[in-house]
Order: sequence, then structure tokens, then C-alpha cells
Amino acid sequence: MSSDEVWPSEWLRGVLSLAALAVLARQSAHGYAIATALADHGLGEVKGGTLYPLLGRLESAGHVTAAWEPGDGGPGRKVYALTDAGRSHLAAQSLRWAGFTRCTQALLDPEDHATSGARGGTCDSPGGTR
Amino acid sequence: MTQPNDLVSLAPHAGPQWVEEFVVEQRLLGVPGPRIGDALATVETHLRETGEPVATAFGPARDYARSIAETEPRTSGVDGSVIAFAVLGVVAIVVLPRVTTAAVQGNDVNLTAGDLAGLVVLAGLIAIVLRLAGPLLRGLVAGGRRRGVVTALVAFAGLTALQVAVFLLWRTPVVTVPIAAAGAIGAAALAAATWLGWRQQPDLLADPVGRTVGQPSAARWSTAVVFPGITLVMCLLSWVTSALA
Repeated sequence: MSSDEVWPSEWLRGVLSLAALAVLARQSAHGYAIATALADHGLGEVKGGTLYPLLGRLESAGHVTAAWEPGDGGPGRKVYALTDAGRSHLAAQSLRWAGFTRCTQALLDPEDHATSGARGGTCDSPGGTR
Repeated sequence: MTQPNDLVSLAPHAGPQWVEEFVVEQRLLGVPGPRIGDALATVETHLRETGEPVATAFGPARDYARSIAETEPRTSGVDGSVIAFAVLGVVAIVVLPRVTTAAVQGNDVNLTAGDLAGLVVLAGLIAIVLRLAGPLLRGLVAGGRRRGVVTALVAFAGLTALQVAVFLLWRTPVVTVPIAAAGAIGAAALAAATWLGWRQQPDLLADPVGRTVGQPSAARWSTAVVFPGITLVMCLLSWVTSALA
């Protein structure tokens, strides 16, 4: 099953880099292990064509580093590790994501509609909207 | 740790066509060879571990090459030393055969209006080709291999005909240069072009453990000897034709 079939791809686009950083916060990993961990956490199967450009962007941003492990007679696996900057980014963005999901949930919840609809959908997003 | 490698061996699970399309697109985008090798090794590792076909895991080669290139360091335009290499080499190709002819005939070198016009045409063409190198290469590649070869042959034949027409038909002498001076200019241009060619660092594809596709020394030699080789052939032709005339 592809990630597109589990969750709409536009939802995944918003959260996938954060999810990859969260996987690497647990331990350094190579690309396939990151994809497997994302699938195990219910995000669906992330294809290589999506995953590696994303890891490249994280590497360019200084949030992860990548290094090749030696293999038998050639390159082995490229292992990605979280940097300190990546860890700080993950912590900050995770807080904001939590606020974003609370916000969205409050808007989408029918019971919340009934009780607080008249308030105009206020939301306690940390850091405001950026 | 360098040893000859072939293109497909960088990602055998991806297959030759996918690898070739990927490499061509990354080259057109100006991604350095070692970064292309790194990306191919990543593709190979992923395919080996997942067992997926390359089209399923990575999609069309050109699309993946473009998406992965967004975060890669890229070279844009043509380096100044490459322009100098081309211009000096062309000067040697134009001047030294004329010196050879003059030497056989025992004259100084007469520069005609056709010579100067030909040089202007050549300089203009070099400038256009170097400035539009990216779009021209992309156009040739997009047209397919056969169309690229035909275009190159037609362009070469057309350019040769133009040059011959200009040189032969516009023979009004403009200036006479002593043969020693013309020889020195031509030899200096050839020496400088050869040195610049030798100095060029070949941007070969390399995998993450440093195995290159092709030998760096062979690439440097072939760049360094291209203008001396052409000049030698042109001088021999000039020598034969003027000796027979």
C-alpha cells in the first residue's frame, strides 16, 4: 500500500520531514530503515522517490548529516543522523504541530461546533501562524 | 582506491536505460560527477533492500533526477578557463597551418579579409555555443541520439563550407605578419591551450568509495592533446597542399 492510499499526499507533504526527523531522533538510520519506521508508525509506505529528496533537503538545511558505511567491495549504506540543529528544529516544530492539530481538531470536531461555534474558532497555537 | 568502473555498475538494479537517463539529466542540470555517483549508490542500496522495480520506487529517471538536484551544489555556465582553452586552441588551429603554408612557400603570413572575417565568425560561434551550452545540449539530447548525430554532422559540414568560402573567396590582403611572429603567436596559443586543457579537473562520475567511471588521467590527457592533435593534422594538410601546388 502506498502512502497516497493511507493518507492524502498533501497531508503527508506537510508532516513528512518532521516525521523523518522524529525517526532519526530515536536513532540514526539508513533510508530504507527510515521508510520502514514511518510505515510502522502508520504513515504508509513512503517511496524512495519521495524520501531521498526530502532527506537531501534536511541535509542541506543542516538538520541531518549523511555518511556512507563501508560495504562488501563497494559502498554499503548511507546512514542519516540528526544534528543538534535538527534536534532543536524538531522540538520547536513538534510543539507547533501539536498546536496546529489541536486547532484543526477543534475546528473539525462536531461537538466543539455545537459548544463553541459562536466563539469564532479561537486557537491556542504557540508562536502564532507563520 | 580508484579503478575503472562503468556507468551501469553504479546502480545495476536500476538498469542501463534508467541510469543513463538519470545521469544525462543530472549532467544537464550541472550536478557534479561525485554527487551523481552518490545519488546512484543511494538508489542502488534502496532497490537492493526493498526488491522494488526502479520505476515503482523512484518513478521516471528524469523526474527523480530533477527532484534530487534541487538540493545539490550545481555548476552553472561555462568556466572562464574553458572559454580561454577554446579560444586559444582555435587561434592555434587558424594560425599555425597558415604559418606552415607560408614556410613552404618562403613568404611571410598574409592575413586576408577572409581570414579576419573567418576569425570573427569563429569567435562569435564559440561565444554563442558556450553561452547557450545548456539549452543547446538539452535540445540535442531531447532529439534523440540519431538526430543529435545528424545535427552535429550537418552543423560541422555547414561551418566548414562557410569557413572555406570565407577564406577562399575573400582574399584581399589586409596585413602581412612576419613568419617568426605569426609562428610565435600560434605556438604560444597552442602551448597555453594545451596547458589549460591539462589543468582542467575532469568531473568524472564516482561512487562513494571513490571508484570512477573512466580514468582521471585518461580524461586529462584527452583534453590536453585535442588541440595539438587537430593543429598537427591541419599543418600536415597545409604542408601537403602547398608542397603539391
